[in-house]
Amino acid sequence: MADVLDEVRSIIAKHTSVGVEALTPETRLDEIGVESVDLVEIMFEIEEQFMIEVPYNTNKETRLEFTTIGQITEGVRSILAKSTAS
Amino acid sequence: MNRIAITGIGVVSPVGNNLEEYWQALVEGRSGIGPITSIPTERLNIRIAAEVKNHVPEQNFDARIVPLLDRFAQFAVIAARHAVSDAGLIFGEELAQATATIVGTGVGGQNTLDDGYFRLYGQNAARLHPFTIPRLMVNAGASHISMDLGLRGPTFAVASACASGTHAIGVAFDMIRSGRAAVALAGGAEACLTVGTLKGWEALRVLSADTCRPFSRTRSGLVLGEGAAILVLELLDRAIARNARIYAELRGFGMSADAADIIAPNAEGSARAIRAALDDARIAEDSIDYINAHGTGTMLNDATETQAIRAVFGAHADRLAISSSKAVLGHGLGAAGALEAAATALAIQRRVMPPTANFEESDPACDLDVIPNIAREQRIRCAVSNSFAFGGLNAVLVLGEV
Repeated sequence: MADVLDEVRSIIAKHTSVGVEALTPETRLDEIGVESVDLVEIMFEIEEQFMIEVPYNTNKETRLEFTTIGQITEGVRSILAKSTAS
Repeated sequence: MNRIAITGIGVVSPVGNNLEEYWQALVEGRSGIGPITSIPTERLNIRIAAEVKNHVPEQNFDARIVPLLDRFAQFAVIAARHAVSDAGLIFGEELAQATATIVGTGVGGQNTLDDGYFRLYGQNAARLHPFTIPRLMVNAGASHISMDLGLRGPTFAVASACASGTHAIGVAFDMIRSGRAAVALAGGAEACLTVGTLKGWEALRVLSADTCRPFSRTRSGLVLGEGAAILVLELLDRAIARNARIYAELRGFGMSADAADIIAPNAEGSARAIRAALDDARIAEDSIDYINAHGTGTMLNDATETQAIRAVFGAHADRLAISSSKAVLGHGLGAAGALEAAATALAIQRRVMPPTANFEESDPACDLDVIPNIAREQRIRCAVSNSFAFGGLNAVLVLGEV
């Protein structure tokens, strides 16, 4: 599932001036200038790309953490795993 | 400067369509938010809203007229009829021509648009209903009020998203002060609870999945609402001469644009609108006893509004009290400011500050007296009603005792 990470990196790269090659699982979104409104757009693109629903509300700490690229990737993987299991 | 009185109020709301039911729910903090029943919800992730209940168009309109009116225009006309009868106004030819009708709406005929597009793209219908265009236009609410009541003065719609109703009342206020109209019906109407609109709001990730908790640390976003409120504004001298019941005096109106972000609120822009309204009313900050806040229940709005209030009122911010009606009404977008101006006028007249309902825990970022859950019997000399819209457009009214 390494390609999930690559997809997430390439989606996030479009919302920052940092090149995709510099984005690692440890990269924090706030370090690369991704703001709340960017994250809303990123979530839309992730949902479209992976055909999933991500429970993300800007007002609430969701059960998924979205601080780093690695966390987003893990979140996507766990949603994908649940949707194939059901 | 001419003084302006509020002499009539009509509402269509998620907590009732007459003024006493409306006021009782606000005072008791009884929320109109619940599971959505008026549209299919299978495709929605968020399935709650503050809907207007038991609305049967045929009970209010001739069956031949119903196809001409979108739900938002129906709300507008019903609220206007109630407001005029509440004010005890009878329109002769001269007064009808001197009466302005100004109705704010965020998006206009969304039900018509949504139904039409579903037929066209979803069901491959060959044609749309012939009244699709006149139903969906943003001015339909104002136009139908003028036709229904025979009002023939300046009539138009105002659109500034969540501030539309407040801008409409403010513009009407200016028109009477300047002598352009003798009486005005002003307010807002919205019926935006469609599958298409809700999917759009879901995608913004600002909707709460449980309820609206303004100023609470546990707040989880806004809840959409719908409805209408129309106020009757007239010259104070005229109201006194005809021995009208006066709810409150409309004292000031302030507007500003943030020129910053299309979505995020801005404390500086909000504060400028509040200051402009106080300056217009020619009153000092410490005359304000109560603020009916914009208070949407989003993390950002409630904290930013708190900052704006602190910036304008300084030490007096800790002596005044504020509450948000959106825990009870949801966010009625273009109707919200008008419903809240109505609540503010009633609060002044009845000397009761309605609470912020659904309140759970205080938030250090919203450290004002937000009247948690329990109404307060207290005289209100002057009050502020805030509306801060998407697009960075702010409108603020100052109301006072007569």
